[in-house]
Amino acid sequence: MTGSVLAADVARHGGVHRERSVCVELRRLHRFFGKTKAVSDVSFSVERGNVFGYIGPNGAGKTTSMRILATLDLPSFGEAFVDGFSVINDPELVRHQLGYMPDSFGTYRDVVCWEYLDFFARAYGLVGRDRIRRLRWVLDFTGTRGMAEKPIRGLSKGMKQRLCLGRALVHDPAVLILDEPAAGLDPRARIELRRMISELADRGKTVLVSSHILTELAEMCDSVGIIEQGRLLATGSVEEIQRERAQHRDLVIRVLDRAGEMAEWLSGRDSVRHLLVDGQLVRLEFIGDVSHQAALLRELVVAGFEIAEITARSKSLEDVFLQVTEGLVQ
Amino acid sequence: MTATDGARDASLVEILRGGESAARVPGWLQWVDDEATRWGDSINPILVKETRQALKSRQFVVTFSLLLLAAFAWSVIGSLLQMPQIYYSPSAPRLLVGYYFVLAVPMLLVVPLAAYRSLEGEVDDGTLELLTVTSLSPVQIVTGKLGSAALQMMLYFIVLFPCVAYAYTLRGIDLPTLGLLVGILMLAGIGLTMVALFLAPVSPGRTGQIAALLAVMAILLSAEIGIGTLAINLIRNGNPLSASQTAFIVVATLAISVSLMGILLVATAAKLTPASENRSTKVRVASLVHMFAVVAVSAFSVMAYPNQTNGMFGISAAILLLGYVILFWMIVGAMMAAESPSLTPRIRRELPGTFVGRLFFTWLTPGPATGFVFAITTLVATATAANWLYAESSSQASLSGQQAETIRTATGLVIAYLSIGFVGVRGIISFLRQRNPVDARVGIAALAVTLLLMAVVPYGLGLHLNDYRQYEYSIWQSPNWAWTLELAIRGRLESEVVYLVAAAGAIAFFGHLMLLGQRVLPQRLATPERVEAEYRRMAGLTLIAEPETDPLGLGNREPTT
Repeated sequence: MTGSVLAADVARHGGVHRERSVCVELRRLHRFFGKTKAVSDVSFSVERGNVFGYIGPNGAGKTTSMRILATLDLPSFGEAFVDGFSVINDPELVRHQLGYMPDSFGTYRDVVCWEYLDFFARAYGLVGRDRIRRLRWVLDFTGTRGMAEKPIRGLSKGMKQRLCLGRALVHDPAVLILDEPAAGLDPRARIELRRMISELADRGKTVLVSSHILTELAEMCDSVGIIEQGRLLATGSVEEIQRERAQHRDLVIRVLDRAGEMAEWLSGRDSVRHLLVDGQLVRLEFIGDVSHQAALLRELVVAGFEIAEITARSKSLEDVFLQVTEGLVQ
Repeated sequence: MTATDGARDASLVEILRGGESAARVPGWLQWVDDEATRWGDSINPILVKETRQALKSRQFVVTFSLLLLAAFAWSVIGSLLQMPQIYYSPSAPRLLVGYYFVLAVPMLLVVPLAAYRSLEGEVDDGTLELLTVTSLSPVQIVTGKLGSAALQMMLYFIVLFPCVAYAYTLRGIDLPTLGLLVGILMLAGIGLTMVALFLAPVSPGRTGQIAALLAVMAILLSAEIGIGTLAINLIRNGNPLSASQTAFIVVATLAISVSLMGILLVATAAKLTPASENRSTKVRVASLVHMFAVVAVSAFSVMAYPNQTNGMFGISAAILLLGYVILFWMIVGAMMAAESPSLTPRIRRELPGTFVGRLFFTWLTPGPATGFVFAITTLVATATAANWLYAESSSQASLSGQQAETIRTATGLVIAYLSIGFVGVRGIISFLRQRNPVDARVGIAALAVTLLLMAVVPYGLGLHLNDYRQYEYSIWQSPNWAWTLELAIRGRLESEVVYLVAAAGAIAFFGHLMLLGQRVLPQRLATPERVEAEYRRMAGLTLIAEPETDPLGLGNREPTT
């Protein structure tokens, strides 16, 4: 009996998972392919029950890091841990703790959906009625019960992704590694996938998800890591990264009159760039933090400009991503 | 799959569709159901999946239908062709030859090729990675596929069984010969499936895949011809051997082929095993078992039949054994010498812990130095056995001792050259490993390069120094194994050269032995308590069901496909 959620464990730890804050940890991870540094000195950790977004351009090293975590590849240097177990020394224990969903969907010919899930449930050591109960839960959770007897080869991309998620969940892992799960999905399927991931996080699962669709990651991730050319450039919550990186703010000031005069007044300042007058609106890029912004406003009011409204547009994850990365791909 | 499994699957779908099975069943039937479920759960999941897939595949349906059709057609045509003799003279052999061809194609060609495609498909479709992250061991993956192939073979044979029974009633063949024929076909089918699985590539490189497919096709077709010739001879002429000889041949064939299949099985599983784990020990143990089987069979054959064909049988057996063990250890030894020298903490946890364990089992632990010593030691032992058998047989055949002496010298030289060659393998692999991870199979290529250089470089230098004219052998040509061995076999080699080559081989061997001194010291790492506790935790507790939820409200919605 392996690879299952165990009664004693559940009883002992008061839930599906044990009370340990860090669930996934990468320590100075390196992976070289010849002279190519696919992953170079990457370190981060993900707390239990958190959703971690792994962002980076193609060839940045996301899939390589995820494959190492999934025990499918070995690091050239460094270590990775899942639930405290080393992916190098205890891959079996790591495998029991994680569900892996690769970017390509592996299918079997002449197999229907329930047979596919049943096979993987058996492969994870689930037996008897426990396996059937688990299969029912997975079919319900992923909304695939209605197609249990349909051949996999005939399914749509969205349905295949659901089934693939079901396969990754079939042994109730503590950690989920999802490599580009939303790639190629239509908007509805994406929304449903996002809801499922959020639901899993609410249930205490730790989710490591990579995606190119940054707006979606921003909505569901507790923290993100931005990787480029194998190096982790930034890590933390989206807000933290924004705070660290956001020295440039886009301001829109609405004045009752004298917009042109105000633009002229602002143009003499080093902290202001890209001025644009649009009727009553003055658009500008301001370099400085929030206190500097407050000081500028005070000076504008003292200078006699009648300011009706000011809007500071916070940077989106896409902005942060573009700012952090340099668009270099190996 | 059995009817019980089919019924269970149907009820599983029912349960998956609409909750727990609603119908109340009698207690004894529930007990039967529980036992059947338990039995079903104990079966290798790969076997279940492969069999489900295979029985639903177009290839199986087509092969099965053609087999039925061909068997029926041959029963009618074969019988009509033998009219009216079929009523009064033995007619089974002619019919059986036809049935053999009908059965041999699926058993020796279709099923092994399907098994090959199945493992290759796992790599191509990315499902091998999905299997790797489950609890299944690589050995389970390979045995599951092998088991499914065996099951399909059984099905094909069962289909043809009534035809064979019909042929038997026509007289002309006895039951033991018929049994032998079926045994040969089954053993060959399973053996060829194992070979096909072994050759199935585990990397998605197109060139490798094509090369492997061509190799598999060549092997299967050759086997089809070879085994076909043997089977047809057996059908037409009957078994010419006595009962004891037949029993010996059966036991010997089983011992050698099963132990060889064991090596292929663990080697195929090793290809699927991550590099951080011990991929070597099982191959070494399987190689030892195989060597034991081969030597035991050879020794028994020489001892049991001393006067067979005036002692020439024993001489042939000894020469065959010698050639086989040299070829075997040349390949296996080169791969072992190409193993990674670094022991991961995981492997170090599994090293022998006691002094006695280290004394006897260090050679079975992974690493190029232990591999070198293991290969050479076992080669020396098995080659010595072969030489002893040769000496015994040549005295039976009243041959002079000169030939035995020549064989002994040549064997010693081959072992010494292989020792030096393995050192070359280690050097080349160490160089290559600085840039990229190197597969142990590269060791075979490295040995070929080393042996080529050992032969070509001194010969080329000699040619150059003699103004590209023909020249005589000298001691400077001692690294040139081809020339040296040729002279040794012709008995014209000077003893100094023999001593020199033997000394070089001995230095390589004892040098490795000295390097291994440290390995015999305790270096086992303790398994962390938490890891041990986790393994214990997984050992026998039961699964708790997740609360049933349908967070998206999608449960019964018809999917959009």
